[in-house]
Amino acid sequence: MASKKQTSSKSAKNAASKSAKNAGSKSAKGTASKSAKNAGRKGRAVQVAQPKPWGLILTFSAVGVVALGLIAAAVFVVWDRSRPPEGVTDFYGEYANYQEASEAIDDGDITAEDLEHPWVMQQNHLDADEDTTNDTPTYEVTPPAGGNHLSQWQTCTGTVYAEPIADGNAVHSLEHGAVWLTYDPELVDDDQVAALSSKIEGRDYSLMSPYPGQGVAVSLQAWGVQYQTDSADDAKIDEFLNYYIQNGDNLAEMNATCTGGVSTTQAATGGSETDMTEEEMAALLEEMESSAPAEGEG
Amino acid sequence: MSRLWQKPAVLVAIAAVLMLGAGFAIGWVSATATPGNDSPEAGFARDMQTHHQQAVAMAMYEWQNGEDEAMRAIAYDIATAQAAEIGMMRSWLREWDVQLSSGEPMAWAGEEHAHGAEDGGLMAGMATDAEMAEFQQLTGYEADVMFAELMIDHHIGGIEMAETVVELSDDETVVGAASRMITVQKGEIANMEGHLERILAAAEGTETE
Repeated sequence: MASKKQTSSKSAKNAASKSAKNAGSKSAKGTASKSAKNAGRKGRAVQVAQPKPWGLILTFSAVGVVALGLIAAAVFVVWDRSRPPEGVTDFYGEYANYQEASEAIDDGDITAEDLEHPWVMQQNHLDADEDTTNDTPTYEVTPPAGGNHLSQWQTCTGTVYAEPIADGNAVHSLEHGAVWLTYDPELVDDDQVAALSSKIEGRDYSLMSPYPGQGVAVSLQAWGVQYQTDSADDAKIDEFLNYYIQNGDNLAEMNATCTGGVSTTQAATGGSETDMTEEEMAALLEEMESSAPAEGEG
Repeated sequence: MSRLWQKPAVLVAIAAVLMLGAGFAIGWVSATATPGNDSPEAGFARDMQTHHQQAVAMAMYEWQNGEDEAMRAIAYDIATAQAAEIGMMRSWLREWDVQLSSGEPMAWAGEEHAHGAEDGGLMAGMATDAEMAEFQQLTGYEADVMFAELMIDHHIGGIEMAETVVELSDDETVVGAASRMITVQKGEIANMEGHLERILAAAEGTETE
């Protein structure tokens, strides 16, 4: 392509100097501009043959390409950083995060019920009324990743719980911008639990607890999103923590703390459950059965 | 203009000027760029949030359960001021478009400040979970005393962190805020030491009477 340009540039040059000769100029070696000027007096046809400054065009183009490349690189870096890690399941449907979904509702484009999973916008305290059956909320997703919850949040200042915790408290922690790491005690060994603990311990806005029967080694929950993996040393675990802890676009509640919550586990509160329906009792018994071997290990 | 294409020297000169301009542009952009994810500024803002968070929890407890009015006033001051500072640092991090949390506390401050998982990821001056649990069993006089002891250590650690970022950073906002934290916390240490002495002396007085 470059050689073609040069050829056309050459022929243009020849044409210009030829016309200059015809014009009777003595300096056949005269500059193009001079020839062009002389030619100009003769007529328009010669002016058309005026040479293009290819060198300049190429130089400018090269500089332009380099500049554009730099801008594109910068844009890519920012864009890439603002994307969630791959493999994350999000429950916001066509919306990217909590922020977008809540803006759509505020703008009147949709109501929360129009969302694929309306619970991502449900943030009520279920224990606010006297009906105590609400004190053990059930969730569509296991482990839960958002929705109505209990009035107390689970302390999540990088807290590692050795026993299962109440879903309703943990979901409240997610609302505060925390990431909840759960593991299936039957699928993760002690060394792996220790390795996972070291990721959470002392890291504000994170908490970890066993979740018997979740059926996958490790599951990570932030409000409205979840990542599940069969490998306890999946590098995505760190990515998820880095990306979702206090993620500004995914905060269901701004500037809430992880201190000041409850730190009770189900082992500590076990047996205090009352007023259960038969179904709930059956579900609990089933859960206890499935978690029994794990408790034996601990 | 049409003369230029025949004079390579001029082209080279123009190119040189453009490249120089681009160089200045890059230099300008990087000089005005916000702190990056691994910068001392971002690390400080992240870690100081966590550090402050515990101070707020301690102070809230003292405000509710302590008995000495002066100590409770200090606690109120610390809880409200540090909670506001947490919001300020969080805004920086969002504005800089960096992570709000890191798995490596104090990594920004260099080797000698880095804390491993052995101490539960706690930063300088922070109370352990056991200490917090013990404190949160106390009320009245005992809460006042343990609050002062824990918070003085907490502030000493906080000042150390703030001094480190002042050393490492040229960012006016961050250095300015860190300097104010140092001044305020040094003042509060002096106040808490004074009140603690008074409270202890009063207790001794009642015991000996």
